[in-house]
Amino acid sequence: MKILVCVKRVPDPETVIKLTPEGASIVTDNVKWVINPFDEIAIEEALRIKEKAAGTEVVLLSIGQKTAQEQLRTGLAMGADRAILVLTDQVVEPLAVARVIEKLVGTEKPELILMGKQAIDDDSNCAGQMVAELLGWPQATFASKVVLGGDQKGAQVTREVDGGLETLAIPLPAVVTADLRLNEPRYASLPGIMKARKKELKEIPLAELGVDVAPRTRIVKLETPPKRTGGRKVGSVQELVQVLHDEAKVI
Amino acid sequence: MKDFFHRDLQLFIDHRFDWERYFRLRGSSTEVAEEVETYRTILRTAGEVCGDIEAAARDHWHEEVRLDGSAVVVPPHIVTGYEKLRAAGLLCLMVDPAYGGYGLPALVNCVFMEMLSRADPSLMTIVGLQAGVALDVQKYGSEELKHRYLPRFVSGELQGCMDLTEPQAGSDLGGILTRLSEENGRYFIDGSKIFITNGGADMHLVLARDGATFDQSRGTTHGLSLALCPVTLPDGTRNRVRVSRVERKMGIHGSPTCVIEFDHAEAFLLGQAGGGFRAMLDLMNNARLGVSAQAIGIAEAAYRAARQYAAERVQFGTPIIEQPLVKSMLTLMAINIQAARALLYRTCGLIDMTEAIRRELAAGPSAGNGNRAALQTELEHNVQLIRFFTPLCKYYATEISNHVTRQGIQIHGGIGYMAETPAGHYHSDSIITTIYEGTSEIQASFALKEMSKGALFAALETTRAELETLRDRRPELVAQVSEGLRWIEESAPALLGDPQYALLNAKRVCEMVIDVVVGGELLCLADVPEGRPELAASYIRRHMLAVEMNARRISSGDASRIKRYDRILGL
Ligand SMILES: Cc1cc2nc3c(=O)[nH]c(=O)nc-3n(C[C@H](O)[C@H](O)[C@H](O)COP(=O)(O)OP(=O)(O)OC[C@H]3O[C@@H](n4cnc5c(N)ncnc54)[C@H](O)[C@@H]3O)c2cc1C
Repeated sequence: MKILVCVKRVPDPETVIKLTPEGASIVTDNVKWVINPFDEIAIEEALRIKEKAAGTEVVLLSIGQKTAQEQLRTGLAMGADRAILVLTDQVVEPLAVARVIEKLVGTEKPELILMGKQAIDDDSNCAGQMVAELLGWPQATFASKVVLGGDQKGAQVTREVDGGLETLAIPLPAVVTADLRLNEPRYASLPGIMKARKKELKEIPLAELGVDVAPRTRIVKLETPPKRTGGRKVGSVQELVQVLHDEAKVI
Repeated sequence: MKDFFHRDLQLFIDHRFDWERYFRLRGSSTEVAEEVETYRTILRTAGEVCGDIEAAARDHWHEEVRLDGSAVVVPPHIVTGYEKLRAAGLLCLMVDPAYGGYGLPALVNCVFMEMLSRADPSLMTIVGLQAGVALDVQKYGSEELKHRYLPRFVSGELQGCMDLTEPQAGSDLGGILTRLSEENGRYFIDGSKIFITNGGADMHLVLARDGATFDQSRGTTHGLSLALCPVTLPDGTRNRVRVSRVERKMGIHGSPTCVIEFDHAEAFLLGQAGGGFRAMLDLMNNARLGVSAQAIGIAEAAYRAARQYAAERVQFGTPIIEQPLVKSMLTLMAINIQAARALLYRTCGLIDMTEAIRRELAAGPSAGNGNRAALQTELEHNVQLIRFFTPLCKYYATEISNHVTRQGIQIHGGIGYMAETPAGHYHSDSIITTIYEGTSEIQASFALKEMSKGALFAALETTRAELETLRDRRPELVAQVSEGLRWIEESAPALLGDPQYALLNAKRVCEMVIDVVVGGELLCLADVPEGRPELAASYIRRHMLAVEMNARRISSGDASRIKRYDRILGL
């Protein structure tokens, strides 16, 4: 069985983000870059499936600049088998991402596509859904548990939905997107890092794929959340209720 | 907060080591850039694991080791931390690939040790000793021992400890009375050891007096043998070695400190009978660099906590970091840490290059990498410098660590004195570093001994030559360091004549040498991308004045000063 895992290079959630003066993008100097945390969970899930089902191949795919090699190498060091980097300097929107994936599925022919439920940089949360739509495959998003059928023809996926859990049975091939509680990703290990050096990392210029990646949207403005102001103490429950009602207008 | 493999550490990997030459000498055909990138990846990943270990280490700092029967029980967070490192394959990085290791350079290993110590200095002692014992087995063990034990050290199955100290033998290992006796080609240990870190480990590396020459050699370091004593013998039976007590301490609570009893325990000889002290020095030199890294890691943690606190704590209407006196304390902390790193990582680089040269020379004349005679000379020069710099590193890094962590408490004010605040924990942890693996005084006197054998001038010459290459770019600072060099040379004669007076000034001379060597190092690092020119300038201005002061103090006196001290002390 072959699993394709999609990996995006994003700023470390712990870095303090600064906006450029024009306000439509972020300052990228001194930013530490990491694998999108949800994608890391997707990689981990693929590796766990591989550990259970012998003969599974895990292929990583990233779309972006050459620097994304670093994240792919990390994924390879975690245990993935090989990686593909589709090279481009331009911003790739979710639909374009989905089209690139669709194209590569034509040659790679995976039985399962694992993706993060969203990238933590633009939080679009739609690439996975779009891939499924373009391919006409079933999808199970926000997965918190994935159980592969013994015959590898289908999977049971538990999803985190409002107010509880929902379990879907889907036939393969399918698209599954990972939520936070699916697993806790491993660290790349030292032996893994050594082995990763010998693993294939194929680069394909985006233009060679002949996919329409023209942007459909434009970022007009980014704003940081308003600075939090300090709280205030009230004297009694009475007063609290009053304030919540009159000032905060929440009750 | 989690950037463990940060820029100030990366600088040393990126700019202060000639990787091209290193790999060429080792006859490695790999792509150098790729190889170094792999090292960076390893350190980045290791940094992440350290970041993960840190929180539990802070929360459970007070938890003590227990003795349950004769089993040493470490606190749960130590077990979890060790398990994380094991899963990531981060144990015994330097062991040769022939025995299941990765053969990583000392430089990479030491950077890792610093990061780990920043996260948890207690856990670091356990991992550091394991790696150190494995390296000594690699260097002095038989092929059989190496194949039997090294892969298991690397996998994390076996931990190690170093058993030297006895009640009457602390700084002076000549006092060792534990006996190693031979019976029909097998070796047995009798005696007891105290203060043994991670004494519950599976493998004891023991320094003991050779039974054959026991009486003749008593009181000296001749006649000491190094032996490997496993808790479980190869046939699966339990050896006659046990832990009889664990100590309570003022810091590194997660690191066991044990009393060990050997009751005719079987052991394997490492190296020559009676020739153990040399082998032990090897191990100790390694361990000294490890403790230096440990001290710097603790200092870094203390500095970060203090810096953050100073930016948040408001008094007189502004954050205290805006107070010149607080700013100056913090700056000094930052400078001292980077200065200690400069010396430590310089020394590690020297060790790695020297090892590469040694390999090249051993590969025989056919290897054809430059002039063999020149390489041989370089090797000897480096060996001399390493012997000199190692005690200097240990002395300097651990002393600044004590100071930095102390300042960390001061910056925190009253809250810094409270038991639950990490500021005080860093200081309590730091203090051990100036004591074990040879106290600061012992390091200073070792360094002094090396100086008298010619290492002083070799070191000064090396720094002088390096300074010349920087003169065009930084004429003023180079002139100041050169002036420092001159002060040292001027005061040296006052020491040469009188060994007692030299000993009295041992720390002073060490500090002077450190000041100029580090000054040169920091200058080399000033102009690299994202270098720290202001830090270098500030260090040099401050420390060249100290060199002058120390030089004047030395030149102005003689051994009669000791007599005056006797009178002050009423001796
Ligand atoms: C927490 C902890 C862990 C330890 N772990 C280990 C371990 O794993 N293995 C092991 O073998 N040992 C270990 N030790 C022992 C440690 O190495 C010794 O305590 C240390 O070497 C000092 O010896 P001592 O305590 O006997 O002090 P002493 O040698 O009695 O020294 C007392 C003082 O006298 C000074 N002094 C002594 N001789 C001289 C001299 N010639 N010149 C100038 N000053 C001198 C010292 O610097 C010190 O200030 C550990 C100790 C501690 C506290």
